[in-house]
Amino acid sequence: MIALAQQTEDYVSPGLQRFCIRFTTLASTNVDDAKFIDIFHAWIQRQALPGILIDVADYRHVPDGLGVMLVSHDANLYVAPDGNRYSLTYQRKTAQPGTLPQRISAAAAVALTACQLLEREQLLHGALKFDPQQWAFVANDRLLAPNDEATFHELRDDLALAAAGVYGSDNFHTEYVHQDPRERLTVNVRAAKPVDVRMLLENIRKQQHG
Amino acid sequence: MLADRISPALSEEIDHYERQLRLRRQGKIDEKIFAEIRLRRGVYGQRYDNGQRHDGEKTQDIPYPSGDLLKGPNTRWDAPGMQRIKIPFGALTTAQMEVLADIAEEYSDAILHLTTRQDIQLHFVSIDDTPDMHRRLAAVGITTREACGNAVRNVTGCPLAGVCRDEVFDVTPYSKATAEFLLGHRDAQDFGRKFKIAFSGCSASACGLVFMHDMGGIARTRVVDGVEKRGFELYVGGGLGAIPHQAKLFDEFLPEEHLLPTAQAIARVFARLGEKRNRARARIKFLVAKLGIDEFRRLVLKERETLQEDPKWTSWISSVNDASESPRSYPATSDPVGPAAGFTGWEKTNVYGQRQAGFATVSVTLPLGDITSRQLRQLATICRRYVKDTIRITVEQNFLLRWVHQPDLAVLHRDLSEIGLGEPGAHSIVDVTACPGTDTCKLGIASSRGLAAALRQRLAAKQLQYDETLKDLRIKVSGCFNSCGQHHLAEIGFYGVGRTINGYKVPHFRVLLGGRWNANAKAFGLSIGAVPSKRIPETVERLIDRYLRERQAHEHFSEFMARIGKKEAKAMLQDLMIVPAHDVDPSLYSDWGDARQFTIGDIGVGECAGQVVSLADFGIAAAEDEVFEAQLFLDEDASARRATGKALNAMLTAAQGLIKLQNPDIADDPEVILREFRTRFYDTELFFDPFAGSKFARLIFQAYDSRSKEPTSELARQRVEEAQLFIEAAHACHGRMLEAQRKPRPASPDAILKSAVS
Repeated sequence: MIALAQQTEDYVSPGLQRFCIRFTTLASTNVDDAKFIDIFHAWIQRQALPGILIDVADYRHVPDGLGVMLVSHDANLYVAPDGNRYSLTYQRKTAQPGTLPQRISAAAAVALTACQLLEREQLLHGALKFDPQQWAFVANDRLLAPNDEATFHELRDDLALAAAGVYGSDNFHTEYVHQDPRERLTVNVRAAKPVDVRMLLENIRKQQHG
Repeated sequence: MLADRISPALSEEIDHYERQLRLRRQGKIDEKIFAEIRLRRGVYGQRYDNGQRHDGEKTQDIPYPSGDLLKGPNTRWDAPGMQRIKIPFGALTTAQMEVLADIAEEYSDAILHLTTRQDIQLHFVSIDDTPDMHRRLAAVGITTREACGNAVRNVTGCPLAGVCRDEVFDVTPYSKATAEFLLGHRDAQDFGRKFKIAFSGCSASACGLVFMHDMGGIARTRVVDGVEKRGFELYVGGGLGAIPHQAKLFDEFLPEEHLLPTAQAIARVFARLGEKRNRARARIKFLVAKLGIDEFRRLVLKERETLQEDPKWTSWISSVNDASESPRSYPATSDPVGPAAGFTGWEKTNVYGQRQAGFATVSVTLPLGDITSRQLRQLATICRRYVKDTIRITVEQNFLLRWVHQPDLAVLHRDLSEIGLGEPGAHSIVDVTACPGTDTCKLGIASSRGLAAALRQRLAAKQLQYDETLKDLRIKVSGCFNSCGQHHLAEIGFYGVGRTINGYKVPHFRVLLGGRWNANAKAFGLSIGAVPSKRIPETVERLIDRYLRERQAHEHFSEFMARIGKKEAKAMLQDLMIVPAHDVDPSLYSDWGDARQFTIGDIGVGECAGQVVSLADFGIAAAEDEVFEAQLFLDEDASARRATGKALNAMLTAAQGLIKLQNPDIADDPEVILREFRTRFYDTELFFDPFAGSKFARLIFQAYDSRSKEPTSELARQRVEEAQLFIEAAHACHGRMLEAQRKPRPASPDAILKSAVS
């Protein structure tokens, strides 16, 4: 088995680098999906997120699809309808330095920053409110992280370490999502108590600064 | 292990590619050579790969981490690219579908795009990931070799082959044999440009699009000595691109055993005599036009005689009648369920009764040819349940499931609907085809996909997909003149162009009428004018409404348009072509699905420049009128001579308009115009297209030099196309000159983006 986590800091690890972090909103209505195009273009103009932001891809025509995507060199970020909610997925593409928990934590920070920007976005008139009490981790690399219990067990400690940093406590649990084995390994992380985006960003910031 | 599932030959090829990639990273291979190496593996560049992007207000540098490292001329290493994956004649297995879904999810953006040539494309791919991706594809028997580059591209075939009610015989084994024979063949490695091949089982339908291919075969049989023999009506020298050419008949009946040696001989003649230096004239259509079909045929047949006998030419023929696919023995469901909502409409547009009793094909409608990884994986499961490995990609960018038991249709539709793939409207007016356009293509001028999505939504809302009268009417959109969206072939076609109005750029589409989708793309449409992009849905509605209102019994759309004439069709749209000022309607100044202002930099208008601009505008507008008149000569008078004369005049008028920017006193004498155009715009390269170089500038000289030649109707048609392209290039040149002359001014307060900034 190839090591999923590389425990040396400041080193671009050969371990799991491709993964996604997904947050979901509370039920929301009256959102014009086309606004995400305008919003993401504006984010590129002012480089509103970390990373090298490049372009916007409009996939609203794809049924049950990916909605509107902000493409960057490092990651894709897309917002799509998910029943009567919206999900925001941050998909890491390029290698990051640090341990796996650090990489997950860094990705969560970018995803949460995007959530916060959308919550405050004037064009959306406050229609989106994210529920960060739960988020999903998706391993986007079947060769390194096949979707099975064994991989989950191998990943669990690193995920727990990352989640503890995000929530600022150990009061959460992780759950392997049993689904079609051809799909990617997905783990839900859920805090025991309600939290908000700002609080989690603060936790990560504190953790990153020691 | 992945390696155990890859053939040694494929494995070696990919290892070699990976080594080349590493050497380029180390600077040990020239960037131009590496570009061709990666293109031949299907690894393409994508929009913004020069490291710059206009964000609506200014051009920003994209700070890619590998800095100045290039993967081709002016193409940054780290810039996301496109991976094209060849799927010969569009035939896929479920195992292949699953791997494609996986790699799209892991290396791309989880969207797979089906192309009009039965390929699959993934976008936003890092070049560093391509070797791994190629290995995973190779493990399920897919190679990306020669998916791009100056090589034999994907061999396409009618997706109904083998189950079609009208075909002469199943062309699948012939498509397969040709694809395998020419893949990597030593005689097909030295072309000046790409070479595309297609096969069709009949001449009446459009499934194979033979007439627009470099080489195409239509199935034929002939009785020889009392025995029925198979062969092909073989065509060469067709192609779309900027100037479409109908393929020429090479042989009325080429016996099957001569197919591969003839293809090989054609490849050798093309490699030897085809243009190599000037890309714009390097497709085989130009060689066939230059030599004439008779001389080309003579050379090929002579070449064929010199070839050394190759067992591969015929070794496959004995098995052409072996069934390449088989149905499930029994329907998947023994307990029929009631139809889901929308079944009746879906059955009407998406189900086709096979010639084999009790079986049907089912089209899976993919808006703009896009499907998610998850959907593709789920579709593979559905295919296993209902049809085994009998799946094809269609040239209309859908999937086709073959050998569906008729009793399974209702439950299959229910299953497809559950994964968002049960939409009706396949192969109908709402099934709009579009190339990638400005979404991802470097050459895109306007948003073809954005327009196609808008049209689809608008026409489906009117339920036009069910209208029997519109059954054979297609809409196709290209983001530029290069025809990747096959705009020439549709009854209503569009290609993207830009216009400069009072210093602002406005996305437009040229409207083409007169194409015929059926009959293997036998008739090409011509432009009647350019309409702002945002007004195209209204354009389509006007055309269709009038057709539905005034058509005569059984009159096809193209026949109706021919009856009312292009002059009248243009008059119907005239008001839509007039663009209000930016302050009056800023919505026209941005493109579909893009918040950015279309202009490249906000441009101010000085009074002095304004007068000069109006002179140039006037000249180009006059040229537009003349080229339209040339079309009318073609359509109404059938006068090739008058049409070519008018087309040449149109080019001269456009050139004169541009010259007026520098010399308002330019004479009307053609010789003077040409001389000044050469000095001021050709020698200075001012007129040159950023991508096509001198291609369009040369058209005017060629047209003038051949003005005394008696034109055929085909040449006249080409001249009209060339005049349109020259005028488009004049518009573009004018826009570039304006930008260079004027200083940027602050962004418009109306800019949409301003309000987005918190």
